[in-house]
Amino acid sequence: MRRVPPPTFVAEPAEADEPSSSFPSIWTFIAIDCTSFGLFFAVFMWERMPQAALFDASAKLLDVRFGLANTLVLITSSYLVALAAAAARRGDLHDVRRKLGLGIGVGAAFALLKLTEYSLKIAAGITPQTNAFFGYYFGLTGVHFVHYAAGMIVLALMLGRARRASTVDPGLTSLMISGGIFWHMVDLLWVFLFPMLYLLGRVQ
Amino acid sequence: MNNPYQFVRLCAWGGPGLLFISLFFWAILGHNLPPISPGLDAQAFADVVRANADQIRIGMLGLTMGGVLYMVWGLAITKVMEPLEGRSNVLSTLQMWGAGMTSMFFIIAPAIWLASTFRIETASSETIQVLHDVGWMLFDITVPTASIQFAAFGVCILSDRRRVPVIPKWVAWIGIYEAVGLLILALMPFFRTGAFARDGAINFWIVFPAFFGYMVIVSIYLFKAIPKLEAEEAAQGQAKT
Repeated sequence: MRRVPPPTFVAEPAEADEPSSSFPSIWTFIAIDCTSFGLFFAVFMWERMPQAALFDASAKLLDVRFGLANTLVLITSSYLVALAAAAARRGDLHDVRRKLGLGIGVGAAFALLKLTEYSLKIAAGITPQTNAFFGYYFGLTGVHFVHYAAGMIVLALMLGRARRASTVDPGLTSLMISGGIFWHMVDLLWVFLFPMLYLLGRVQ
Repeated sequence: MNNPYQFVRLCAWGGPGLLFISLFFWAILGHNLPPISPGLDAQAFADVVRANADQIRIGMLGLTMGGVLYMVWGLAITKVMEPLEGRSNVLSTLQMWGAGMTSMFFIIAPAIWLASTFRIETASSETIQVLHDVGWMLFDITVPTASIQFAAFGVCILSDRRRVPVIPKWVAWIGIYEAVGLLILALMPFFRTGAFARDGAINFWIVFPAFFGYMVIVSIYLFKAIPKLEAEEAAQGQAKT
């Protein structure tokens, strides 16, 4: 029979998080980052109002297929990372490595598609200076891309940790959950950016 | 026994001091609330500077002289980080260098804006405008030094394993957010108008209040952390004797 640890040990573990925090503290970052993007979206919509015709005409120059493909890429990658976190909770290290590796592989397609799209736009003479819409297009997707790149680095660090581990320890599970939350945010922000930049101008 | 935190509280006042100088000298007197639009032509831009040259001169002189307080504030942060870090001092050193280098831009950029008023009677409009552009490039595009500082501070707080952390972890996450969020200023060279311009809704009205707001939060938690560390130090001292 397992021995129940004395109450003092339970109350004051040597390596504990804040006593009251049962959820990952990364939520502070998520909340404030999403608030910032919320403000960015509000600024975009505010500036769009007096020049809706220009914004709509410019949005039509974007290739919806790229935007849609990237939405599917990020949602799939996010799903795979969620499965990896679930595997970590089950203690299935092999599945953690497999799902995380797949999540990174699928996620890499986003960079390929986005950079191709940027190159095609610049080759066509469309830059941030073209007009206000494209200023926002490059600005907002650029800021999102920095988040995406940071997320890929976090996922790579998670995979490195999972590869070195011999079992799923609480540290790895916690990392999988926190890193996963960040990756879902990257996905969520794109889910807002895609209709706002690519689709809004097409709805009449 | 000497109190290792004897001057730390004094240094921590460097943050609020710089906040006051930034608001009063740089923002109000320096005519930066909001900054003069980079979208104006040289003549219109220089006319605004000429009309407010005396105020701008005093404002920029104030920040050039006071910018060093950022480094002083950074030293207080490092002294609070050191006991959190334990034997390694990589993060507290990175923070100190980040703060020290950031303070240079609080000194050099306003000195360049100050220079734009030095020969205001004879300087051409283009020269005045270009000097302001150079100042802004130094002020905005050099933010990675502050990013390094805030990231090191954030990671250090997150690695604090005390049952009740000296500084709450949400403060760390806002620091990491700031480290990333400041990089948005890198878009500034591409825009003379709009939200990403140096006077724009995002690059000025969101990023700047977030930066100075974080200075307020860090300063508050520095003042809360110092007595905790003093008590910890006293308890360790008693345990040794």
